[in-house]
Amino acid sequence: MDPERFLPLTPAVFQILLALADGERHGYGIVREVEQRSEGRAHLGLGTLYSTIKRLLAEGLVEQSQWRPDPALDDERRRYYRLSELGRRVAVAEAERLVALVADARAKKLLAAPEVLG
Amino acid sequence: MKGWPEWLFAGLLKLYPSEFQQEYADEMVQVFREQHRELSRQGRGALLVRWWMSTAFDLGVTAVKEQMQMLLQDVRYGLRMLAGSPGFTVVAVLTLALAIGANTAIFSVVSAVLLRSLPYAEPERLVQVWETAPRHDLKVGSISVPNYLDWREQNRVFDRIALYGQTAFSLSSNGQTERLVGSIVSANFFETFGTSPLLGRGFRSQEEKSADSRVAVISYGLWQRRFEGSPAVLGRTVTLDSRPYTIIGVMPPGFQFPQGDRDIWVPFAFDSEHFQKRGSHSHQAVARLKPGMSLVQATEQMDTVARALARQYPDTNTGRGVALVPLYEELVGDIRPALLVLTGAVAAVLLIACANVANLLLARAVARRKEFALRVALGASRARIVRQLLTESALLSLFGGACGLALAYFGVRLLVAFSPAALPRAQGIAVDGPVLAFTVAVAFATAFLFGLAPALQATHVDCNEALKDGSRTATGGRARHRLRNLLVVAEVALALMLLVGAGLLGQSLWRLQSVDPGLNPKNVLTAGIYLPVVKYREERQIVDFFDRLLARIRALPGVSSASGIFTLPLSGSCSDGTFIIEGRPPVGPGQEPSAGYLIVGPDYLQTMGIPLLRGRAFDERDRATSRKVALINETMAQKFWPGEDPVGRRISIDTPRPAPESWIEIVGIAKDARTLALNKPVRPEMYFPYSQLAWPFLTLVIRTETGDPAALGKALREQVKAIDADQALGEVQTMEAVIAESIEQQRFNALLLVLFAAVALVLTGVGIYGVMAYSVTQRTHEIGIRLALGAERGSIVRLVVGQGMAPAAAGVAIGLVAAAALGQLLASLLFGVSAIDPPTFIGVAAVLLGVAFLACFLPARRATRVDPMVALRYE
Repeated sequence: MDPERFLPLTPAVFQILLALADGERHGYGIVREVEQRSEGRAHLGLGTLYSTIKRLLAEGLVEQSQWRPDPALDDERRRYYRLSELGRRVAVAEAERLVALVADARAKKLLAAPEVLG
Repeated sequence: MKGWPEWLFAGLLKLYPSEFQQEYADEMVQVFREQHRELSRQGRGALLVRWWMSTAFDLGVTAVKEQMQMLLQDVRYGLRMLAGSPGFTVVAVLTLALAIGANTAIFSVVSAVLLRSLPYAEPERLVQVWETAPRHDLKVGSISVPNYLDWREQNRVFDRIALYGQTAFSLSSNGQTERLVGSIVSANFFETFGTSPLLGRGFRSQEEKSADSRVAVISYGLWQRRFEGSPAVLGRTVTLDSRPYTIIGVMPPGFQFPQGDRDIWVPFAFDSEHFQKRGSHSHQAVARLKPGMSLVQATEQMDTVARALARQYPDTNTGRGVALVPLYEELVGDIRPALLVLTGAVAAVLLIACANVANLLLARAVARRKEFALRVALGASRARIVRQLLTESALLSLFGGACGLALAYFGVRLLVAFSPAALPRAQGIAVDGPVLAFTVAVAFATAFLFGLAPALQATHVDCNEALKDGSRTATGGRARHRLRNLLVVAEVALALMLLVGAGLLGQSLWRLQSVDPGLNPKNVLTAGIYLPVVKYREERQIVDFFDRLLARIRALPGVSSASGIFTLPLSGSCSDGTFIIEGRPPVGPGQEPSAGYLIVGPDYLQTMGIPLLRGRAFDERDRATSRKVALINETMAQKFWPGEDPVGRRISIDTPRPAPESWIEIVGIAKDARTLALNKPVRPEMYFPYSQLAWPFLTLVIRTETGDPAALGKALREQVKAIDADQALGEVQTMEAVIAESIEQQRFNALLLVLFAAVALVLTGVGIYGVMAYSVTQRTHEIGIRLALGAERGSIVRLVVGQGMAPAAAGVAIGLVAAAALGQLLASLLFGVSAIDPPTFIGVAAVLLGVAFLACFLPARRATRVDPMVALRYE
């Protein structure tokens, strides 16, 4: 399936896909990952989180995972989610779209040119 | 153990669709608990409060989104299901469209006439003020100008009290004369309603003091029609009744008072002697109560004023009181019972339609048993299926409502076109915002009404049984059968009530139309003419005008006789007065007998076809200078001269102390003619010749050889113009049309009720047929077995018809009892027929049972024609 047809993603969807890019996470894990990565600037409400997960599951961007962590760190009521292959391609496509947008912003001199390293 | 935060959170989760809750609620509570625990550990109260607020907001918003998505899903599924059975959908939508359309149309009338407040400032403080004369059984009578002036001075209950009287003007300009309907009003008239002119000003108090002020305020309609809406109209001089008037104001659109379309208002001239007679009761008054003043307090205080006036003017005011009626009651009080009956009737039609659609849905639910069973087996809850079915019902109702709205749009136009002229506030009847809101509300209520019971029934599914291939429990069980029968009982009972109501009103109308008016209206034309007192000050001028006009009209080809009368029988106007019989013991002031006053031209009885029973009619001998004469009607003769001959006796209308020259000789007795209304008894009446009692307003009555008013209208106008170019003739109407108009309201009620009853009868017939046809189809297998076992076809028909007729008969029985109660409600609208009229009740019951029999018999007969072998294989 063409990932382009899912674009542009809503901020909540992109945050969830990003949170799952490293591997399986449960709901609270996703919320925390989003908060930590954004240093508290982004916040996922529980309603938004599960409404979005429901939709992402239905569209096949996210799958429920059977993977369980160490029982000492686990709670059996938790469900774990992971990115599907399609979900990963969609996340990449969205990231590229955003990069292109940022490049446009630089071309318009809205942003400074990136420092060239090395 | 759960703490209050978790209880609260779990409570918020109930906002989500049940499927969502089943899937994610536990997990969300778990995440919530962990988040809450961590934030509590941080011990930052402000942060915790902010988090709670954002969580609650987020849950609320996403719950609404989820619900909407679910609804959209239900709607899409529902649309597919309805499209899959177009026959069912079309029948259900049309049934609902008919019922919702009729309800919407009637509601638009009720909304405009009954529900909307009057278009004046603080309308609840406005009252109509009447004079009363209990001894003459006069509860609301016209008032005299001097009494009004005294009330205005002496009352402490009104902010303002305004006088008004109806009149007509001839507006002349550019050689064209137009007859305007107008009112002569006191200067405070517009202020009493709290309405200011759109342009210019209202009247000033000094303008009502002199007949020479000659200023006028015109209506928005006349401003647009005659002056093209030009602001330059202010200050313009127009010729009204041959005298110049200056237009000083234009009223805003929608301002109308009194009832009907008024073109123009001019101020009273209270110095005119024409308005100084305290015993002459010919005007109306409207008043604005002081803030906080109750009707009871105001009435008590006005009674005190009336008693003081009776002491001061015993000759004219003894026995006279004051009645205050809220203006809203005055305008719509009479029409309310009829509109409520019609509202009840259309509501009954809606209920019958609901019963029909519910029956269709029940039948359809049986066919969808497997689908429901499958969904239950896949985990759908009963609530979920009920919700889905209610969504389908709502879709049917919305489609029905949309089609109904289109029907109502045309229905309202028809209603307005055929509504009686006396229907108050008819100009405001339209399918507008409130009516649209009503239609939407009715559509949803209807969906719930007809959808819930079948939906609940449909979801009683035994999955195993329903999913068995070829299971033959399709009749849907006893409960469903009972529900269908109950619906038939309800619709038959409702239809019977409607039919009885329609039958009673129809009979009433028929009897009313059959009432002998006591005159022969065939080929009689009528046309009002009003001579302005400012131009025709002398009685001699008035008499001369009418003498010349009638002579010209009599000479017209096709006219066999012509005369005039004030007031025209059955026109809705009447005039009464007291009199004294010569030689009878004197009675105290206010105790004099009263009778109707009719002022007529010569040949009146002959023109109207009223037989003269004794004596002579008026003729050329009866002039102003000759002996005063009068005719009386039969009722007056019998009431005041029982067993005697009144011809040759004398009366006086100069009460209570008649002057010697005021005695009038009774020269003849006319047969009774109905003048007030066809449904009111004939009152005692006196006829006076206009040559002796000149009156500026007469309605011409002309007997022609043909009954076509258009043919004579032009010639009549020319005759009026030939005598006085400034005078305009009123509407030319046949007497038959005048009589028809007098019972317009009854005809309107009866026609609508008959229409609704006919719709109800058809819907009921179709409903019973549908139930029976479906039931017979479902029992084809059983019928096949019976036939195969040797049952007679006749016995099968009897069996099926018997089962179908049982609920119909129960409905008839219940309907008869309910119709008897309805009859009592209708009693005030009935004429000449009892509220419990046995022939109507029996006839209607027979018709309904006949329709029910036919609706049962046709499917039963079809079932018996099936080949038993085919029936046995039937699935």
